[in-house]
Amino acid sequence: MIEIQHLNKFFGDRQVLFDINLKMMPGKCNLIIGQSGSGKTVLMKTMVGLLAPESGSILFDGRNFVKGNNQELLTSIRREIGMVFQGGALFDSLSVLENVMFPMDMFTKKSRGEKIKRAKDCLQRVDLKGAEKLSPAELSGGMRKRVAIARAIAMAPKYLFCDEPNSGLDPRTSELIDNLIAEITDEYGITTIINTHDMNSVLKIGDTVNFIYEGKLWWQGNGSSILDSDNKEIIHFMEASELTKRLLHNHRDKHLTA
Amino acid sequence: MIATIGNYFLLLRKVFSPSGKQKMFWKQVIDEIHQLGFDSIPIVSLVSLFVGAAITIQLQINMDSPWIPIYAVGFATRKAIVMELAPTIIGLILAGKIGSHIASQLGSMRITEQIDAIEVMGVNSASYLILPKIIACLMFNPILIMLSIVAALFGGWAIGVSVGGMTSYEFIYGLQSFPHPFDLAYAIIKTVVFAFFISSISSFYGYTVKGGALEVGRASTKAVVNSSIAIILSNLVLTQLLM
Ligand SMILES: Nc1ncnc2c1ncn2[C@@H]1O[C@H](COP(=O)(O)OP(=O)(O)OP(=O)(O)O)[C@@H](O)[C@H]1O
Ligand SMILES: [Mg+2]
Repeated sequence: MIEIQHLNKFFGDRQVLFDINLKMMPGKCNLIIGQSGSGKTVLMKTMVGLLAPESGSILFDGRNFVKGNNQELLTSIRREIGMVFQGGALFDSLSVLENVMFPMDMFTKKSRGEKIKRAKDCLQRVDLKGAEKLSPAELSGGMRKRVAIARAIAMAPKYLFCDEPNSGLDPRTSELIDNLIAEITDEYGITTIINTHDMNSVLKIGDTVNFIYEGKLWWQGNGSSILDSDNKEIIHFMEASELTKRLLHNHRDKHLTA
Repeated sequence: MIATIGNYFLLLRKVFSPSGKQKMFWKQVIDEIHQLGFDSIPIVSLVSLFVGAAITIQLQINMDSPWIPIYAVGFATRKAIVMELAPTIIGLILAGKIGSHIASQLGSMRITEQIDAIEVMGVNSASYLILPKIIACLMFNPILIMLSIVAALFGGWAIGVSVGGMTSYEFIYGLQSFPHPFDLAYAIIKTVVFAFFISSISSFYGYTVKGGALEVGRASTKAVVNSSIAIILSNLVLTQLLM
């Protein structure tokens, strides 16, 4: 479990995260949702120590690396983290296979053959068999995300962070990526954290949902309870998508007739 | 300005701090020597050849006097090339070529979050990315300077003999007169210092890019300008110290 307590983050004089308190559950897809600019990426990068918070605690199964700016602890926690960045962040000088092998090259004593086998398994897991030799520039957006996921799970992480894993993808591909992440989370019992503003993902894989509004944790619940929320900002957020707007209204009508 | 210098030293500290695994280190250094060193051979040879020729012509015209023996041209050419032309001019050229390459490479890795991706794996990204570049430059730039010296002397010889009315013997006799091995050591010392400035300053500007593609371009310009300034200032200091 990951626990965040009283987290505040500033850029210069500007505060972007206000007293965030939340818990991320193991073996579940924990979603952070909110409008563009609400602070999702900043929250996620703070959780993995890429940005330093001004105050607060971040505990990975009880271990708080923020306290005393504990770099050694942070490094050892990071060995248990896999992360999928918003743009994929694939190493463009390396092939797909080398990208997935990279974390193993850095940290394991496995033979080259074993590393290749593991990398191929991971690529197969994300349905990318046969793309090993391609370079990142030759991949479509959806394939890039898959490679990024394969690289993130190569070291069998305990915690998986995904920053907008389906942004820029068509609805069908988005759904495939969502399902993939949900399955992986379930299969390996990972604590998965997903940033998204896609309502489809929220309804489908949101085991826990944390809604961030202007840097504040505004609402918490899950993919099924969100339609019942009477929070003004949440409703506004949901109504931004025509599909969820209709879904929401159908849902309400059903409730009224029931 | 002061803050920038402070951040530069903080980054250097991160680069030289012992960082986890170094398994890939020498492979990285060799890759960098390929990208930064081998690729610079054509431009270094070309520039050296022509500047060496131009210097010889200049010296010959200005030393055309019955009181100066003709072999003095060869001697003066050698001095000029070994002491200043090769280390300093080529240093500046390399600041442009290597500096912009390093800064734009690291800058684009920064804005596409590749550096974050390395960092989040628990790797010291500064050390992993920058140290091999510094080591590659420290190792290979002296070789480039040697090459430059050879090419420039050849350029001088070719022009002197073909259009300058010197015999090959006179020029080579001049090159070999009053041998002073320390000159070469002096050139190498300067080169090593310049190599450190080029690689570390350019890495600093690339690694610390914030924003988008436009900022990568700006960082690349700053890398070249500031490496060049560092070379020129340290050249003066080293000349004072070593001469
Ligand atoms: N490095 C930075 N320096 C200054 N301000 C920043 C920085 N990074 C983010 N911000 C600011 O913090 C706020 C939150 O940004 P963030 O990237 O977390 O939004 P987001 O919720 O991830 O948006 P999106 O859905 O578009 O990715 C924004 O107002 C942004 O301008
Ligand atoms: Mg974001």
